Amino acid sequence: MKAVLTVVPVQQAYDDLLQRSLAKIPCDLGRLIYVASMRDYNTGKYHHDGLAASFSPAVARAALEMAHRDIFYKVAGLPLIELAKQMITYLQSCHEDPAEVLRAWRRLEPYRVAIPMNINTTVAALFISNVKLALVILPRLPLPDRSHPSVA
Amino acid sequence: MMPITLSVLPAALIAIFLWRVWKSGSHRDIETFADAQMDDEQFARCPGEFVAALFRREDWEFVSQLDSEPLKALFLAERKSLAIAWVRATAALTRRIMREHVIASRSSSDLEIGTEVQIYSQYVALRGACTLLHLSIEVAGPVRLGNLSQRVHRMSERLSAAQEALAAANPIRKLQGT
Repeated sequence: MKAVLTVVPVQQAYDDLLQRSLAKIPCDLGRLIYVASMRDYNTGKYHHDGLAASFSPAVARAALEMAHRDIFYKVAGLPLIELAKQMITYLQSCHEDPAEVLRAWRRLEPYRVAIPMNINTTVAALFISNVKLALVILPRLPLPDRSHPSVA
Repeated sequence: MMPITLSVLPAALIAIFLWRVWKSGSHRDIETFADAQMDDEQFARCPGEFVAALFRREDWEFVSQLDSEPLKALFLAERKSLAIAWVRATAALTRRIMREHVIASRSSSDLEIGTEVQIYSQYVALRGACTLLHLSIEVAGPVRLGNLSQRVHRMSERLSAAQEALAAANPIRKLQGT
């Protein structure tokens, strides 16, 4: 009975997160970056003020952790062509110079912090490998507008 | 003269293979994630859909269309590195499962020969399949080995499940014996 009482609010918080925050983001890669940014680098704990106010900090944390894992598995399993397309969508949605963002992604590899804790190592390795490849592929793809990120 | 040629040829092939394995192991200029030391069990227990993704042919076809030799080389190096890490980890996990099973069997009072033979034959088949997959990755690359990799994954899951079922049944058998 206790387990049911704790799981139901987490599921509600998870649905709330999907509908209110994550639905506005145009691709899973963007959702992954967003949810990963809710995690404290030092403690690994997630924080979301709105969700914590509607539910409780513990429930919000569990819902964010669940969402992070689900979205990560989706992105890690994407075919390379889909990942590259999502990267283009993400670049177009983040209101920064795409060339600058790509340069930073290549040099700083910030996508490494998008991996959830306690994830399968092969899946994490596949994700890192695919993002590295997509970053090399991206300048070779035709982009819809002029902000074509050139090869660094 | 003919028998000498026939015996030299396999030896030469083995030597070439060992040289290739050594060469690929000594190449550290291409930095890949899988080069890092990782926990074998974590690496081996990978969901089937991601094992399929490691060996996915569509990714190679997409990369080939872009007509860039450095990109193709990077793709093959990345995938090969990940695939070999997974095969090695699966083989290591298999050895560990079998070691644990042998230890458990030694202390068991009611060994079933049929079950033991079945587990041992599963183990031998899986080790053989891991070796074959490793050799195939080295020789042909990972992009044509989707079926074999799925077979290895299923065999590994079956062996794990059989060992877990036996381990779970052991306390009950002990209780029944008392």
